[in-house]
Amino acid sequence: MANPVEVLNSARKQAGKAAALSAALTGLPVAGTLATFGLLLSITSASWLERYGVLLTPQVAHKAEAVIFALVFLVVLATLAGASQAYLKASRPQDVAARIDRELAAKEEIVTFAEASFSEDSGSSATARSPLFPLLSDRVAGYLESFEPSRIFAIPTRRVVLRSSLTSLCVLITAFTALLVYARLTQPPYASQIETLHELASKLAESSPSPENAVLAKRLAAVADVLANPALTAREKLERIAALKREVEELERRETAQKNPQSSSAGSSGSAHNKGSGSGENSGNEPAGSGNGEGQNERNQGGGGKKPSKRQTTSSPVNEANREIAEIERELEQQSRRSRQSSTGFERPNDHQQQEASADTGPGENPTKSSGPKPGVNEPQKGNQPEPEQKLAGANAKENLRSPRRGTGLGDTRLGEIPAPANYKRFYAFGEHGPGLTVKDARYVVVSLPPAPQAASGGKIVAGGPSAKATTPYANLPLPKEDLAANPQQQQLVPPRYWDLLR
Amino acid sequence: MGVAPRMSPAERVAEFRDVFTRAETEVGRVIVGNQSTIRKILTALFCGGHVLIEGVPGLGKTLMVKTVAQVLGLSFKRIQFTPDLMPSDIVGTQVLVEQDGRRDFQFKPGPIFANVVLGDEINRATPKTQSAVLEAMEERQVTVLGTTYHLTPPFFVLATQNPIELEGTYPLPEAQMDRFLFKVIVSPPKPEELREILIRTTGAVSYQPKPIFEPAQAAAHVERLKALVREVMIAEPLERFVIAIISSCTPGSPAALPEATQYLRFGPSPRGAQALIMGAKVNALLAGRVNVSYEDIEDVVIPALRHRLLRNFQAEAENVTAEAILEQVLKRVKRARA
Repeated sequence: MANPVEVLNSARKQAGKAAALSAALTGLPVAGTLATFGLLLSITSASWLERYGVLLTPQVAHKAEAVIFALVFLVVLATLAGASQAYLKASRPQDVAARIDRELAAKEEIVTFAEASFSEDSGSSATARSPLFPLLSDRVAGYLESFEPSRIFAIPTRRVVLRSSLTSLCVLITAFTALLVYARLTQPPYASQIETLHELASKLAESSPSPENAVLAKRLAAVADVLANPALTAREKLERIAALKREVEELERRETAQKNPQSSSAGSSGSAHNKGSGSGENSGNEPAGSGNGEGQNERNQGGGGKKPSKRQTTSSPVNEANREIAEIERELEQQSRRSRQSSTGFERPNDHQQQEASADTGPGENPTKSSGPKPGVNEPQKGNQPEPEQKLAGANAKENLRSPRRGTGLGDTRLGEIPAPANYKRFYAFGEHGPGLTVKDARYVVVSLPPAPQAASGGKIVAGGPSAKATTPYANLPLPKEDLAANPQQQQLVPPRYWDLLR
Repeated sequence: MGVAPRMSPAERVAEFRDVFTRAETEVGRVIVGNQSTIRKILTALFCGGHVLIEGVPGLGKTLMVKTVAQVLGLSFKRIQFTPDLMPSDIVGTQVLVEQDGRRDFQFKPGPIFANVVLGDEINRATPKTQSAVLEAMEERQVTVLGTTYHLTPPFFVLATQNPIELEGTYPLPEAQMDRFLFKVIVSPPKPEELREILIRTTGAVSYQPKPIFEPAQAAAHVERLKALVREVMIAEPLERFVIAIISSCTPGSPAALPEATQYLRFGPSPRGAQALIMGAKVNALLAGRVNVSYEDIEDVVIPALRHRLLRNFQAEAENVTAEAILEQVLKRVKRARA
């Protein structure tokens, strides 16, 4: 007959081992997952996705790695501590005996025996001294005769693997989410654009060692700094970028002129309606090709330029800079508009136009952009084809400013934009502007129209087209800003009896 | 059956089971039905406790107690409690005896001086008389005119009370109720049992129970078996289980159940826990074990605690019984254990 004390001791060891392994198998995969995540962070910051470097600055990436590896260390420590704790807890005689009791349906005999047998360690030996203990020992020995500790105290592999997998997955998701949230919170605005500008600057500096390129590269870097400067408003950033853009275009023009001195005729032979001068790269051999200058009129009568013989598939750094700056400019404009909307509560219809018009130097002139096709990015255009997209130079000066992608072949992508609906205050409180008007028994009502509004920016009417056009497209005066003493609730109140009239 | 001082544990346990089973069988030959009541009475006897038997008149309570005493060969006395019963009528008194020309006071023991005492309709006596039994039940001694007289062990009080005729009764005080190990309810017989009762009691021949022990050695035998009960082992988790049960039905305790807080004024005293463990030990021996199991404890929860729960007015108004509360307690504690 097996010695029940020995069997219980071996069961204790087995139970402790199983509990410790379970704890370790739960914690170590989590540590492994975290470590892999940290290693991935190190590897990918150097080699993986290019955007990864944008997402996480090197400083943040290094901090994140340090935190992750510290977490790995802590998890390993906690796992080891948990495993040892689990071993001690699971190998307590009473717990082991209770488990065996349940498995063998022994009516608490093994628990009682364990307590009596191991009570000398704890000092309470009341039950151990019972004269009936030998009988209990015999009965327990009978129970434990065919007992195998490894059968009851086996490691629950499936449960442990499932638990550790789920925990690891949760940890991975949490780590990724935390990293993304942290990157999002710490990322400065226009981080990607700043990065691109720096890259362009370095490309520009490397491509040709001319002093112009060096200066432009410095300017690009300066604009990147401007973008990163949180103290500047979007409007100020726009101004700096507009200045840079002019320099880029100048450089682009020079570059084109140096490359193709024989075909730099271009837009001077454009339409009489246009003052814009295209400077397209027309070095092809096709005769009678017509340049796609911005300054050409709707009938496209000018044909000075020649078509490019071959579409250039590679873009120069200058061209890239031009595109990138246009993109930044567009975003800044949107941001500026949004901030205006949020500050005033509504967008006045002619705000945008006034601001843009203020950038114009005069009717028909396009100070920032009225050049011809850009090398390598323009689609070949047929001559003498009416192009509905193209407008009079005077009228589309605004459009020129608003179309930073002009010359890239994408067209004006902002045609669909309409002013956001404004929150006009149409109703006054009764008696708010003078005494209330009672029209109940009136036979007729005389309405006097207000005087004709004047253009806000003092624009003038110019002749020269099918019909006279104003340089400022919006003639309506902006609504005066309402500053009513009544609270908004009162302003909006309209008696129900007037509802039909209002409809 | 003689006393065998050199017996192995297994033989002692077997003897206990044999005596208990035989006593149960013999009583069952006289009393029809109420097997659990008989078992609880015998359990309390071997635990060294007293039993309060409750039931309507005519259910055989007195016969049951008398039969138990007869089966075990113990001395038996019966006290009919009435409102004019005096304490001296129970414990005895000093009487003036003239002997050899001298007059002297001599103690004349009352009916309390017996192994098995039946206090019939104990709630009909005044509290003063009831309290006279108090010292005897707990201390197993009586004091008359400053002299203490020890009662011969085993001392076993079985009190009966009628739950319906409450006029002119004096409900037992809580302190005295707590002295009883168990409170058992004698249930009315079922039709088949009633027929058996009629056959046994209205016939010409009535069965006379055979005593298990010789009257001279019965007390010693019972005391030896009582000692065996105390040797039964109980593990710490089971002691915690008992404590959890007691705490669950003690209002104001952190572990008290909502039902206990709502419906009880007072919970069981530590005597309740002692009663649970002692009753469980007897159950373990009857199962052939020398250790207490959870089932042994759960079996005696209601008889051991039902008279120790003092219900409040709300419980009485809503007819919430102590048994119902204890069943809830058992469910909750068993669930917590699982």
